[in-house]
Amino acid sequence: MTSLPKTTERRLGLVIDLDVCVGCQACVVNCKAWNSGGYGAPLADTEPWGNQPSGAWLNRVHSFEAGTGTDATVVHFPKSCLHCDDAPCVTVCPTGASIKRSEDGIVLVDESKCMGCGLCAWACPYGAREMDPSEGVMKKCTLCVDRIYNDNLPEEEQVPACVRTCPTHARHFGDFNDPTSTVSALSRERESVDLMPEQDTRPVNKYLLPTERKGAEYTEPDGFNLADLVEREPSGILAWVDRTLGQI
Amino acid sequence: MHPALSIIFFSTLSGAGFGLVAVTSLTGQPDGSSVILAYPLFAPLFVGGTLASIGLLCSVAHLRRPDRAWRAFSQWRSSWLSREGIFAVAALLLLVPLAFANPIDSTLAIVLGLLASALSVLTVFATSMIYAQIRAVPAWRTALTPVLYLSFAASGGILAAAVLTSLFSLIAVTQGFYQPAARGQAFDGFAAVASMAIFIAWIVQSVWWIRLKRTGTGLSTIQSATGLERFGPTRLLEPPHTGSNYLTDEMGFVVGRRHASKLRILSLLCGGLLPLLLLLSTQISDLPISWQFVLSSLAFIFHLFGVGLSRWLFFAEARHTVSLYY
Repeated sequence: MTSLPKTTERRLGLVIDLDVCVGCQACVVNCKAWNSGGYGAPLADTEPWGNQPSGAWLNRVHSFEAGTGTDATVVHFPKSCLHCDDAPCVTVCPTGASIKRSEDGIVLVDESKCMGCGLCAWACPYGAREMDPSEGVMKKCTLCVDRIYNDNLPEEEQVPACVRTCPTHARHFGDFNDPTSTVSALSRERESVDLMPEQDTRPVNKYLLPTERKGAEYTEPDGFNLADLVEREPSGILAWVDRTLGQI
Repeated sequence: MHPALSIIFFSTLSGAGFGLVAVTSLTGQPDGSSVILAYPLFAPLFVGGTLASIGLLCSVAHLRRPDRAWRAFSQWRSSWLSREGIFAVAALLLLVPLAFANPIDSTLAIVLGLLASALSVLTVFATSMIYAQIRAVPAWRTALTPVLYLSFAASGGILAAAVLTSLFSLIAVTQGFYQPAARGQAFDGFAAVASMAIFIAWIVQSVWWIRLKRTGTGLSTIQSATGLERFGPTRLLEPPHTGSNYLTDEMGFVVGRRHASKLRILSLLCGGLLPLLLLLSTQISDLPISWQFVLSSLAFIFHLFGVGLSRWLFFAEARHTVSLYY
């Protein structure tokens, strides 16, 4: 059913740390790689080697500049499905393909039921859903449901592909219903925000804000000149060598 | 939002079709006093049903996996799109017994007629709710959207009923069935009500447009979308991809907004003013019935075109919150 569960046993999701994300796009690529070989139809592209390459991706990194002048901060901003508690994409689905699981809160698409009407992508304010160009079904982040419960993988691999691959640990995975989990602790201890709270979607994923750099004054470092490196007069033994060699 | 032609054809045609079905089922009660009883129910129901069915088929063309369209009847508890499908098919199925019951059993025909018209209204309402429920598109999320869809369905439906009345008068007169005076009254009645409905519909559309201007991009901003409110003005430095993608194709439509004001005037002229003038001209005294038919048909065609254009703008002018990320 496309009705939403009142509560879910666990609330699995991600904490994304905007302070440490460097925008390397590794999570984007690993997500694409895993989801082209795991659950459901492979994530397709159109014209991948042509003039206008396009395709479905479940995770994308935007880069924003926040603030003005010397206070401006560059924020790399990974965006994937937020697995909302009040997911508007689920209730609009006419076929029953979109579901929110009551056991762990993951929002999933049953690709064998999806008729590709695209209404769920319209209903999502975040743009978390993309139509697969070759399969004609809606694709979205599965929170790597085929990794996190996969006993064939070593334990450290049983996390979403984006989390596993992030070189700066900007992404954390866990259960928000468990107060002792890393994600709960992080979102409690750091300043965490919901995206577009005014849309009343109650997203599970939280974003940790970057450190504020406001007020830091920019000054030219003094007493240092690149030219000095080239023209510096030698001293000590080097000066003696320099002098002696010069006399020869 | 990307204005998909299939969706525009669907909502315009099925709106007018279900409007006609509702009008016919309601007013065509075989109680003897009805002026419309002069023509058989079968034909208008057939025309209305055909218009609605063409519309529905257009909407199926919009699906990427139409082979699974049957599944859309399953989620009526939460999904307006599912409800729309159920109402539409139920209304269309009901037309068959209604058309045949009419001359045989008047009580049954009244019950079926009331049911069919209620289902037709519900179908149009459900169509409008598909859009009105989407919070991510602030332009659509208003009680005015159902009013708009229902108004245009009513104006198109009543206008179509006027056209059919004039057609049946024409046939009746040429066949010498009976005197044209009574027929003229039925047409005049429909033409008057259609004029009012068209007038009201464009008032609603104008109010809808005024609201759109006030709403703008809604509550969400780039700051709330990124959570970076505290850091001051935020702008996109690097997009996540160099080309287009499904999201930018589907929700980042900008062409429409560039010519929006011109297209609004054109839609108002074609869909409102011109049909009103044409309907007025049918009231010229001693105008032959054949001319009434031609003029009202033209009015219907122009009205449909104007409504289609306004429906195109309904999509093209609407902004989705995902555009805040681009």
